[in-house]
Amino acid sequence: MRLKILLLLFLFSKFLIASDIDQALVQFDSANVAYAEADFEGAQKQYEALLESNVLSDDLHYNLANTYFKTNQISLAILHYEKALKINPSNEDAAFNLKIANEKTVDKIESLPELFIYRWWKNVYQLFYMDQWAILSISLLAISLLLFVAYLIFQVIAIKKVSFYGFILFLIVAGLSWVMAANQKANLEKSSHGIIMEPSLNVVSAPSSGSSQLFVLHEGTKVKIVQEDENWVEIALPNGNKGWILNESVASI
Amino acid sequence: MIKKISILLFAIYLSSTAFADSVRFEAIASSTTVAVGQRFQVTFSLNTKGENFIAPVFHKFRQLSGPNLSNSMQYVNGQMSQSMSYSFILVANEEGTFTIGGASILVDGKNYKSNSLEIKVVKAGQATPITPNRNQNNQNQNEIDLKDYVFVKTFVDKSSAFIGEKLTVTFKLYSRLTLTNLTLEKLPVLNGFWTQDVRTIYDKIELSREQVNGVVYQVAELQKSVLYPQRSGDLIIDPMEIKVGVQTQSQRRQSIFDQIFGSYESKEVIVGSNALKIKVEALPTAGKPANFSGAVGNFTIDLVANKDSIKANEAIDVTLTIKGNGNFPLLSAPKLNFPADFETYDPDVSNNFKTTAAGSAGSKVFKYLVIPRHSGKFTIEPFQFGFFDLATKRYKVIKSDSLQFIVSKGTESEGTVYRGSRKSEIEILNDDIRYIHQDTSIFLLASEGFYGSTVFYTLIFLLILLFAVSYFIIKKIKAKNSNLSQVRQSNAVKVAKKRMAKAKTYLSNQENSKFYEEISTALYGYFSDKFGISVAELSQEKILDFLAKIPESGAVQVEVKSVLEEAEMARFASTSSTEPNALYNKSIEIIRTIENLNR
Repeated sequence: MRLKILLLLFLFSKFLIASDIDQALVQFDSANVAYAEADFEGAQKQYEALLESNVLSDDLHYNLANTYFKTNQISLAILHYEKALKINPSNEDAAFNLKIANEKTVDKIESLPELFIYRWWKNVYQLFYMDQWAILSISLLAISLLLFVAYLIFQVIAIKKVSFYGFILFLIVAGLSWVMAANQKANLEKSSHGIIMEPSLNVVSAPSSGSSQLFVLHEGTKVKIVQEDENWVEIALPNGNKGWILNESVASI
Repeated sequence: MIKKISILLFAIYLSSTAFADSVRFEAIASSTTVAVGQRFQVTFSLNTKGENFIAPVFHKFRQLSGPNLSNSMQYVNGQMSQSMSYSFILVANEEGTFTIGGASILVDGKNYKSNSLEIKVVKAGQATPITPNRNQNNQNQNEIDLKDYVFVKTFVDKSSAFIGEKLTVTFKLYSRLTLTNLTLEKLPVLNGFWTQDVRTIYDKIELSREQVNGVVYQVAELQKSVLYPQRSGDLIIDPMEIKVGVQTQSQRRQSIFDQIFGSYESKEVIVGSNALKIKVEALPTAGKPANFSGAVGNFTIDLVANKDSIKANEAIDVTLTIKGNGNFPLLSAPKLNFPADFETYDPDVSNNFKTTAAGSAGSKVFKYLVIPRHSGKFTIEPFQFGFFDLATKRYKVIKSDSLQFIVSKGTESEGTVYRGSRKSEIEILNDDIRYIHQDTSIFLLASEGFYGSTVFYTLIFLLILLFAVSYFIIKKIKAKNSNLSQVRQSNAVKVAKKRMAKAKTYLSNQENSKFYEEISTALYGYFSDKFGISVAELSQEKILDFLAKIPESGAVQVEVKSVLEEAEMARFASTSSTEPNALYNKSIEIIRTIENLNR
């Protein structure tokens, strides 16, 4: 009974905001048409307007990044490919185009080798996006609970065994899926990385304008944001280098 | 005796023709007649600036040194004239008359050739009048005498200086005799000094008169040099040695003609100057600026750029001018604080200073070519120039202005310059990016994700609730079941006894069929309760199976089987081989036995 009321409420809320989304989708389509006609600036403006209206979509970021790429604004293109991948790590086209855009940047930074466990984790992480993980988690949880009930009911030892181990397995996988979803959610909300927007940027050793120069970065380079101090941010590069820059020169992903 | 061409005369000759516009490239020998083994000097002098000097081949002569290049610059009436000379010190190997061919030099792209020289080499002794043709004593006396008449003296304007402080050293020739010939025998070695000659022995010699100890001498300035000490300690200015030809009155017995016309003898004598010691002090370490590069004097600096807003990949000239007086010749190109992202090249240096006896003054200009490779706003930090001020004996740091540049995006792609050094994945550069996505898998308002939403948590909550409820229900049912069977077990005998009592009443009432039914029900019910067998599963075989598990139950099993069969038979066939009373007793016996066995 209660479940039914909740579901109804959910559907009702869906219905309320549906008109907004429909409108956004119409605009999205018209931007796509503009892109198809090679009017990249026009498409760009419409995609940007959609972003302003708070639409969350990896494809929106992906398409916008494509317009930036076509108008040769590589750092902005990289920023939005990264944003698309942040929303949906399984967006393979965004990963591909990001690679091409990265080829056009100046800085080539050798990244330190990652631990293989971390690589596996990343590969799994990139399989689905947040909500897919969440649905998977709930489904697996439901299955695992069913299996437990079966374990309780049935007296036959073989069925009992299978259902119990199945319950444990599905429960673990459901938990992992939840962790993935939670991870993506956390990633979505915090911005731990940024893209350099200045064509050429001095990285200094301390958060003050007089400090000594460490190295130079160029636009389009992805950096990790370690900490912030007023209008300065400390950044770290994949090769382990660290330094401070003004926060206006980096756009967080 | 043939006299040699005098350098003095040549100098006078030179001065009279110095202003001629035409290029003159001449060869002069310090003497055209030399003895075997005697050193002499051949000088090729040019009255302008030339390059690609090619010396002739000195066939019959041995070359001791050379080519020694000497440059001189002169400002006369505001016009600069430059001259250069290459000199060689040669020694003759054998007698005879030999020709030294002309040298060639390139002036403004035109090749000039000097005159050739004819040198007569005579037997040793003949050409050098100073060689002894009289006794040793006489000659010694003669030379001692001569040293009073001809000598060279070294003068310095100060005897102690800081490193990099200017010193002027002058070599002067004093003479009371008529000098006919002047040859440089040994140039002073000036170790530890950077030297610039203001006047050399090859320049026009100006004669003046000077009184020394009441005696009047003819004085000629042979060489004047500006020195900059390079290291601290006591530095020595070596003596200069020159060979002069002097004419002295002959001391030989005089002939009539000699007495009338006077008899003169020409002699060559080597005269050397005194050595001088200069005390050079190191610059103080206190207050030494970090960027001090050894500049000593008094300077001002100026930093300018030829433009302040350009496109990426275009060049800018940044010019640093150091003006003033001081050790300019030793100033090296300073390192400017260019933004790290600028491509910089070594500066083009132009020297606009003059070095005179008063020191070096003017300016030194460093022109840096820089190319910004990326757009943006850039600043060249102020250049700090530290020098040692001799007037205050303190270091001074002066600062230039900072320069600002606005670099806009270049026409060509900024990255192109580096493309050659790109990573290996270059092959995908030619590929285009993938096309936009027309359909969207995720398209929602930012606040509307499924994960973390109320629906998500509600679903999870409901699932767990459902699970908990079903768990408890199952638990309850199970508990109930197990309770039931326990009660039934403990009540098995009681129930059976009740049924047996009921059967007994049927038996006494002669209701045989009811009696058999009750006996059967009582036994089956007893086993059902006793062994927890559900009614559906209840059968004779099942009961026997359970009985078989009880030890020492063999006899009872047989009994049970026969009683159950008989009760069944009697019930349905109404015929019985056993008397009802016996069956009744048997049944009671069975129950008792099983209860005993189970205990």
